[in-house]
Amino acid sequence: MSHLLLIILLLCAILGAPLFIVIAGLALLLFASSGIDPQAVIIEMVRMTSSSTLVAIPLFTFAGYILSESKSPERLIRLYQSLFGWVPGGLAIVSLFACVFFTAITGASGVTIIALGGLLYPILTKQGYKEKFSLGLLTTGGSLGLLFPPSLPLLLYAIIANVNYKQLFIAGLIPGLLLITLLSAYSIFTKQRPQRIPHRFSWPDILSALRDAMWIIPLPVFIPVGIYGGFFTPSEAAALTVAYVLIIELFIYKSLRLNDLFRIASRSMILVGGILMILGCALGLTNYLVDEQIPMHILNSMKNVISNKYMFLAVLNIFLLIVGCLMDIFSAIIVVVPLIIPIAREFGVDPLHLGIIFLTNLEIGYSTPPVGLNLFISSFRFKKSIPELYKASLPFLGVLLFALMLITYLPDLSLFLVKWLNQ
Amino acid sequence: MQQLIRFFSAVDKAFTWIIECSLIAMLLIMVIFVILQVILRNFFNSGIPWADVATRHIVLWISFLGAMLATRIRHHISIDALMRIIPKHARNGVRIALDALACTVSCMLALAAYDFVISEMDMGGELFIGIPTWSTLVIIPFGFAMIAIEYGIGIGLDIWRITQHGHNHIAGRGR
Repeated sequence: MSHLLLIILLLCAILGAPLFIVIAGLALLLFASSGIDPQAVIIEMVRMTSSSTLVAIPLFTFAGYILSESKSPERLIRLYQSLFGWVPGGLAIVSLFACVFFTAITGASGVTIIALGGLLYPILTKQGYKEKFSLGLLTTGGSLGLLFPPSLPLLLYAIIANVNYKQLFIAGLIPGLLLITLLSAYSIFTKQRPQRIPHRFSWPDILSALRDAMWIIPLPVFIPVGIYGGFFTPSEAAALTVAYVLIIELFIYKSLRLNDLFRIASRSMILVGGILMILGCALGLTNYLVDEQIPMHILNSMKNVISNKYMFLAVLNIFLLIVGCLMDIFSAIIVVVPLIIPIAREFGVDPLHLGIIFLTNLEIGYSTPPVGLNLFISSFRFKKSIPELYKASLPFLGVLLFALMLITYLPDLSLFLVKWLNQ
Repeated sequence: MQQLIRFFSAVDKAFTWIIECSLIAMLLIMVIFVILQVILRNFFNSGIPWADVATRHIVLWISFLGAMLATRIRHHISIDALMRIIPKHARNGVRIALDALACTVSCMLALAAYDFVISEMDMGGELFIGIPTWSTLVIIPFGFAMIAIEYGIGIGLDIWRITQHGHNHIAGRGR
């Protein structure tokens, strides 16, 4: 009977039932089959109130949504364009940097493509970039930047895996830069870009763009520096960011009005409610699975086939790419990380390195056919068919997969800085 | 029936407005508490002992209020890989069945949470400055109950609209 219900629940999950319902249903079912009171699910949920870092999630999301609803995306693009516009392939690089900034600050929720894609796509095609290239760039760029603070997935991984947040974001710096560098190189060498460069380097342009974006520039600096320097915790950084963003958008740039805040608060908290509801329900489920030693059972059956760390990493990559294109990043972290950590530890994978591999995979999974989330958001935003977007994002996926190989098999890309700074 | 729908949508509007106001108030209170703590700690070497507990419980409230709004517009995180394969005319049936599942599970969660709050009440713990622990946890049964009701109303409305407009109506979308 309970097996039948289990299968029905999983079927409902892939048909589109809300994930928190499926997870809570599974937890209730499993607890009931072991004769545990259903209150246990709620008791585990209340554990949410014991994490101080969790406070950062609603606050960073709110700040990110405020920024993306204001005129800041335009200001930022103008600044980057004055800085990089004169390089061959410069506008593509501008787009990449803008995407990175926005994804890091809004937490990879599809907001990047919605907020920036609409601005950048017309500029790219007007300057002579091929349509296919522009679509691929913006679709894959929509999740670039996950590895940089204060991105929510990074924070969530640190909470769930119980690793040091400071160390995790240091570990993500070089892999994150590697992804940007490789994609920028591709943008410079591709034949899909226009041969003539419309922008010239000019100091007056840079200065005026700098003056215009002057209040936004400190943001990507003071958050990481403040957290790493130990001046404040992630939640405090998040609260300061909200206050700062509110002040600049309401009183200095005046690009938002007080009334807009209601809409922004409700939209951003819908996302937060969605994520934290899954987290709350999953605490019970994953705790049950770990108590029942499910990861150890998986490990034992894996050991028959997988003999070493490198084979394990290869299998892990394939598994995570599939997870990444089926599930959104938040539920993937919440559900999969607690199960994988004990297994990875047995194979000698550092939890920080695992985190970076995990996030890079999910970042790529976002744009992987057939069901990567970015593909659907792009299709909706740019009014293009899904197969068209498959073709457009393929070359970019190739580059990203190459980077993933490097990140997976060269652990020092992630761990070197952490070790060096710890000396 | 039309009148009933008008009544529901008026209640819905008022309720959404209250939730949105509470959300923004809670966010601002959180920001103020946290920043106050930073200032007190760094410049005055002191702090409010209960501010941290309070902000952590506000996060719980925000999650449930946000989830209630997400239910209203059916914006919960989900995987709908298989829905695309199902023939169009069968989709409404599947969607209503999924909503029924969601309604049942939220009901069960609401009941479990209700029992939990009652037992917390009996234990009578205190969170901070005289606020009993159970009072902040009330949001859990309340939230799940509201979510269950929302799905229930959604199912009713969907069935009614399908009888009115046939399969031109797309079920399971909330408002």
